[in-house]
Amino acid sequence: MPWVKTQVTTEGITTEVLVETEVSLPAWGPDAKLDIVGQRIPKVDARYRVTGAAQYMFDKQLPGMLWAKAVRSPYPHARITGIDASAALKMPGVVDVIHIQNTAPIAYAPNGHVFNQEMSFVGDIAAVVAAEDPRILPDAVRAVNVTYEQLPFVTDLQQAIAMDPATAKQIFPQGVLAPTAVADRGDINAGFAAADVTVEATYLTQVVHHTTMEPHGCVAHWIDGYELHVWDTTQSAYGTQQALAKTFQIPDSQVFIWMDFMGGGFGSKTNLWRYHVLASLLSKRTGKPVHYVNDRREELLDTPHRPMHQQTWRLGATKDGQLTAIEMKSYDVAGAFNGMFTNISAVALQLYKCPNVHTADKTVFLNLHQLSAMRGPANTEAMVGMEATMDLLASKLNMDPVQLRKLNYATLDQTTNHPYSTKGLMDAYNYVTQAIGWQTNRKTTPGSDPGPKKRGVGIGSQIWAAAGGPPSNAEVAIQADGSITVRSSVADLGEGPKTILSMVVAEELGVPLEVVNADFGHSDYPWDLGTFGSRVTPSMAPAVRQAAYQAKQEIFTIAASELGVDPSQLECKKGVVFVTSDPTKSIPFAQVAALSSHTIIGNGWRGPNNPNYTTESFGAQAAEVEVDTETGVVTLLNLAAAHDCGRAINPMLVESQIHGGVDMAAGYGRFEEQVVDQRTGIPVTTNLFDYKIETAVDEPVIDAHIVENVDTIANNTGAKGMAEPPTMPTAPSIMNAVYNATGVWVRDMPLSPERVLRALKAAQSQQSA
Amino acid sequence: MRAFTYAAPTDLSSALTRLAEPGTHSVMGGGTDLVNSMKSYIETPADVVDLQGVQELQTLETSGDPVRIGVGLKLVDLLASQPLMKLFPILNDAASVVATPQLRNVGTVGGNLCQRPRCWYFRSVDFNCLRKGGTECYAILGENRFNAILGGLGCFMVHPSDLAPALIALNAQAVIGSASATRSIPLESFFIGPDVDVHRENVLVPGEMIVRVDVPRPASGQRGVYLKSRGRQTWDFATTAAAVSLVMSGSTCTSARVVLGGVAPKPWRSPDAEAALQGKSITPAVAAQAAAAAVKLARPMQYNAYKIDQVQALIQRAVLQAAGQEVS
Ligand SMILES: Cc1cc2nc3c(=O)[nH]c(=O)nc-3n(C[C@H](O)[C@H](O)[C@H](O)COP(=O)(O)OP(=O)(O)OC[C@H]3O[C@@H](n4cnc5c(N)ncnc54)[C@H](O)[C@@H]3O)c2cc1C
Repeated sequence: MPWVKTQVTTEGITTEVLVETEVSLPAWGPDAKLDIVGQRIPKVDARYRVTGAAQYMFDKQLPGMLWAKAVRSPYPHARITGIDASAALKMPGVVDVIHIQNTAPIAYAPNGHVFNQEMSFVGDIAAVVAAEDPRILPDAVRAVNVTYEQLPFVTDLQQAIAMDPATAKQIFPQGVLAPTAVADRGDINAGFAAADVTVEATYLTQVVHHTTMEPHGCVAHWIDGYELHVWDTTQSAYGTQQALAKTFQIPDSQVFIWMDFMGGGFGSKTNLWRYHVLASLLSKRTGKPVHYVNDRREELLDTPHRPMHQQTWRLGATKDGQLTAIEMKSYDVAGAFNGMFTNISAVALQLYKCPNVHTADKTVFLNLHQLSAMRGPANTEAMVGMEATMDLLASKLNMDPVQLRKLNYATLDQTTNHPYSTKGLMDAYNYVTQAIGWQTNRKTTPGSDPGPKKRGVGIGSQIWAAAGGPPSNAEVAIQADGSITVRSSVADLGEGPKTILSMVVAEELGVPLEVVNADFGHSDYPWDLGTFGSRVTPSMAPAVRQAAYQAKQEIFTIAASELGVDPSQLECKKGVVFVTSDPTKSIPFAQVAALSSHTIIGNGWRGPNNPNYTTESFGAQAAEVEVDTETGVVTLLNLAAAHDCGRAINPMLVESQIHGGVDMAAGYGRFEEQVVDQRTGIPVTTNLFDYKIETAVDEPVIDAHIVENVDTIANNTGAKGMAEPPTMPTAPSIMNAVYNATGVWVRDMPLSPERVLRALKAAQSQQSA
Repeated sequence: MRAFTYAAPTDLSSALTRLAEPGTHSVMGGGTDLVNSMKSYIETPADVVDLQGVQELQTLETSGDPVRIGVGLKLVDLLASQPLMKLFPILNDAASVVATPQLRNVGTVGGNLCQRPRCWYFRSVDFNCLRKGGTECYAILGENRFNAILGGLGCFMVHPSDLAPALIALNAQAVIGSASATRSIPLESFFIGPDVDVHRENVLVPGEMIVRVDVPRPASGQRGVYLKSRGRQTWDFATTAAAVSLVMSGSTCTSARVVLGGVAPKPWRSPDAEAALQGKSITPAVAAQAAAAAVKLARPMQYNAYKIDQVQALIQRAVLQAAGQEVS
């Protein structure tokens, strides 16, 4: 097949990829008669997960295994002046302590080397202890005596913004402020000049953590000169394999990443981390397997997070509500390294129809752990400012906020002028407003409920790249008994790729789902880029479909010779191969498989994206809240969520994604935040009590609705990506609902009681002044 | 965690004898707090005395006067006792909002009253705060949204127990045992603020433990209410709380006890609020006066001023509810 270049957008970042065109298969259109795809089928591995049979990385135990734990910097910025591990090494059971003084430098992308002389945040790694018993590790870590020279630091955004460049250079060689990244469409000044109404507001969105149930870490076993095996919790077995091989300068083929089950990633486990390198190095030195897993405090100090932003939005519109200008200026807080995923300009440029847009993103470096993508990076944060400012504009225009959104509906991708392959946002607006009782529950005068407990509703929308794209690769192997294994390095983080990809394979082959087994997450299987960017379904579904199709052709060849017909006359349904024109001429699929002299293997990959269209997922959510204006407590009563995911291969799992996304973001909107003591630069929210995730009791009643909009332009299965989008509209819909309930804007997230009370009080004293 | 010896006595006198031995001891109820404190090196006892096997500490006598509550009872045991909940609905209010069902299934009354502070500076291994033997309270110039508005002196933690304010509102007595003696003091004076000792939260000295809580039977017309405000509606300590116990004669309040939680380093009894209620016919205006009296001396820091408004709302609501009036 011919090779072509194609554009792929993942986590908001677009790259060009060279890819082989896929085998052309008829698309499963809206009216396709499908037996398995589209059914509500429980996750194929749910049983193992709930019974405890599933083995996670942490469960891995090997003979002679050592346990490792990091010695971490207590200072946000310091230079190591000495490391004395002798006391620790004297403790019975302590085997090795590694640090900058006794290891050769190993390059590690974000902060230069795996061990550095300079510590850049509280929790940065100074040394690692390996011991025979995990129970002695905390004491052993305390016994390693590291001395530091403290250096100037900054952990406060306002302080960083105001800092003089000379001081800033003492903290980071590049200073604390990166050059501003600007994007423009049209003429922003002309846009505001044409506006009858202009509104402006600033929002502070906080740092939140991925808080995966399964912590970060790995078990590494380096059989020196032979192979490096790593049992991992990763969103990309393939990516980790490559990076680890490169780090230690050994061939990819000698590195094996193993992962059967995973307890969540949300963007924080997409690549190589220091623990991979440190565990491998300790294993190489000791010749023993090494188990290196963070505890919860370490999770909250030294795993990545969603960045903080201070976003200022200015919108201009004509008096009938047509947007004339969108301006967004943001300070994007990166932590100590890595400015990737900080730029939040996409929403301003894409969501609403507007000829004049100006965005200015400024990355700010602080002495905090680094960020990474987190479920819908950038758009989840930007949607807060975009959508709350739309409601501010609606209130100035005296217009229904949903009406304002419909009026500025974009039918083209304004960044490329391509049409959207499908766009179900209008249906989503209609569904959620109906479901939340918009007409009756919306306060036309915000805050008009009598009494201290006030109710209101709010809306939020969402746009997110959902095409997926290469590289995604899988093979379908048909065993001698007719059972089927689908192999790929793709990771199932718990959200269900094993299930839906097995369904696609069973559908294409015409066999029952029960005979298909998905074997994923091993780096020596066919490549998949990774499970992030909502890319797995739209990338892997076409790939496994092609692999199944290829394997089917061999089955048909064998069956044809048995039945004395041409292969093109055959079909397979429910595990029986038969002649289309005469179904009585048939042979069971398993019997054909048994006739094969070799394993039948079909290879399938994801081809290029359609260059003439933009494929995005869309959705809207409407929240109903009750605000106790005397205690500041915001109760999220109901939340209706409607999302356009193209074809729902398994509606039950799409609804699960909606539930999960809403819950995660309802915590973002109301409870979760990293709090840092600014005098010392030490985060104080380093346990799961002080760092508050949403509990089941705080969950709203969620009405999860799928706007099914089969997208055959996107790919031949009609499915678009859907994992991240449901986190995006939730927080702004809560913020807008709190305004509708109280008549007061609370623009600092999360909307915790003290912030709500503070805003209400400020509004009160402003009124009386 | 520092290595320790462990004992699981099955009767009270051996437990107390063990506590009298030299060395540092910690008693353990359910361990829901103690184990965490040990893991973060806040408590480093040489010896842990597990009380779970001591039957005498798990008795509940609801028929006599006073009602006697053994400290080994789990919070779920209190909630499961219909006679107790009927006598003192305020204890239902308080016990049912502690932590989570799992923690209430394990956590004991004694542990709840003697739990260590939750201030994040105190809990974090990264800070050596005044209460832990350091030289300063980091909350004063730091992240103090959850810290004290009343009674802070040197240390600004807030006492975390939900049971304590409710029990003090009921005028409970703490029965304290040691190998040599047993004494009984008002629960109110069991707790001490940083003005008395910044390193501990109660009067217990080494060798002592609390063995029982005695609660006088309710007077006729007595009604108590505990209201707690928190960010999350479970698994969260009080940002502020109000325990109000009134004795009503018709619409007139003949006696009142008002105790606040989440505002001070100890459960904070407010004589001024009580005076504003006693002898008055309870109206929203009177409730508001009592609430205002309770926070008259409050001194907020940078981020905790909201507590002044929040706790007033809770006091007003609790007073009106205890007086049998509907609250929106
Ligand atoms: C996540 C979490 C949330 C929580 N939320 C709340 C909440 O909302 N409200 C609330 O009130 N509490 C809360 N708690 C605190 C507490 O753990 C429980 O309330 C519980 O009742 C403590 O009982 P325990 O028996 O487990 O205590 P333990 O852990 O056994 O003991 C706690 C402390 O008291 C001492 N102690 C125990 N018994 C005695 C005794 N008889 N005499 C003297 N000292 C004694 C111990 O030495 C130890 O220092 C929470 C705890 C956790 C971990």
